[in-house]
Amino acid sequence: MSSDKQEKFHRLYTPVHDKFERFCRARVYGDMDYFDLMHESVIVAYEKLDTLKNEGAFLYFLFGICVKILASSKRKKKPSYADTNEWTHLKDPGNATDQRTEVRILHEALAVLPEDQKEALMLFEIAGFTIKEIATMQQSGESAIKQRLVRGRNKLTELLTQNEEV
Amino acid sequence: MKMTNNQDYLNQLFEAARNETPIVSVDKICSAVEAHAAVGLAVTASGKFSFLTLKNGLIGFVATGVIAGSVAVFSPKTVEEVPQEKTVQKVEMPPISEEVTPTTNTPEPIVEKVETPTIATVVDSPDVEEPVPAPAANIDVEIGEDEVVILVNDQKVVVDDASDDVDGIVSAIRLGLRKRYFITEKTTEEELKTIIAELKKDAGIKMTYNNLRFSNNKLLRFAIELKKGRSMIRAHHSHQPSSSYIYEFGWKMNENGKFIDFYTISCHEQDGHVCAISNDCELKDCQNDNSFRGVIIDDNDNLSNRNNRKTHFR
Repeated sequence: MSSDKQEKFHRLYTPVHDKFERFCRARVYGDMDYFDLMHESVIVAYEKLDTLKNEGAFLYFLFGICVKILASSKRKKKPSYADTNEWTHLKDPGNATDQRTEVRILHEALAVLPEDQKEALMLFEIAGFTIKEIATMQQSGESAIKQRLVRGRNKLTELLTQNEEV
Repeated sequence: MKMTNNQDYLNQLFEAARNETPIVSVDKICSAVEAHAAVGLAVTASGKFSFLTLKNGLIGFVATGVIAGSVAVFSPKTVEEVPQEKTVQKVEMPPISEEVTPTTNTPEPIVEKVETPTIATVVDSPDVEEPVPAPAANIDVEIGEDEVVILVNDQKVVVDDASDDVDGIVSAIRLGLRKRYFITEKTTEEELKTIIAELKKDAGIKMTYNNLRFSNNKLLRFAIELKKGRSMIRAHHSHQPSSSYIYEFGWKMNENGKFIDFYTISCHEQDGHVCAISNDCELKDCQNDNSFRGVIIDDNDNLSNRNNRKTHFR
């Protein structure tokens, strides 16, 4: 493999890493190890890098691969690290407990949603894709995506309200 | 936590998720890619497994291959990455074990909901009859100049070279040796039956369909299933009456014309552009406009013109 290709991948991947990491972590919360998903996605993206004609579309390219891997794979369930009691043992550098707790609550609620709703919400709310882009990724119409977003948010609100009442 | 209403609370949670500090570092991901690149050279083209000794003296396991259309890639994880205790850093990597199972090979099919449009699912078997080349190995394969056949009243009519007739598709999507079938909104049930016969005759592929939905003589929804041996592909496709589509599916063959695996490509017209998504991630020619980063096959051509050709195959 050429170092040029590695450099190119590094240059394209670095700016989108944070967004990609957050998406993967939320997407497979409680279901599988998100690092496996990240790892597999970036390896495929690296292998396919030559087919990417427009570098500006790398973010879409990478997420498209990730979504496709998830859609085409019925994965063997692996132990989740995030949804166990390990949470309470995590170090808290930067005093980010409140934020992490909020994110954990969100991830737990998202994990309950149907796959298409969950994914659409994460792509829209966390990764920042437009409805058009999500429609292309999920191979659906824009109206379907809008419906998923609305239904997903309603369901999330319901779940979070229930949790609070408990 | 104080909140004015539920929607605000939800927005606040999403805001927190957007701003959360990543746990996995970018260096770690890039290192994984570099490790993959470093050992990738030693992987045989036939997808056989190789044991490699890494620079740091640790043993890694790598396998690269495509099994019936799904990419299964593994790269080494060093002992240093194995969690030893419960800390934030250790959450990043799962403990590696001998159980390096290709997760894309689960024999259970993913059953998509009917209302979910245009979703293709590939179900693979772990014991495919023959090794399949990695994606990189397919890239340089030349495409034969096959004929394009149009179905007119169930009669096959040879039109021209494929490069002229399906210019947008052929020129933009990298093709290996493939037997290609197309379904558009003009496709009739009789034509689907003809395709079924062709698949059976050409490669012993069993194709079934259901959930056909026509509106104003336009085929807006269908579901197909193709099987050969233990390779199988299922796909649902549904479409809005206001736009057009070409749904391509088929099978890849080796140089001897022998079946390798299935593939699907969904093309549809959106905002005057034609975009496509393939189940093997062959994304091509993305548009510069950030508002739509779809995969452009043909920026100028009108897909609806091509739809007039109805179903065809080559």
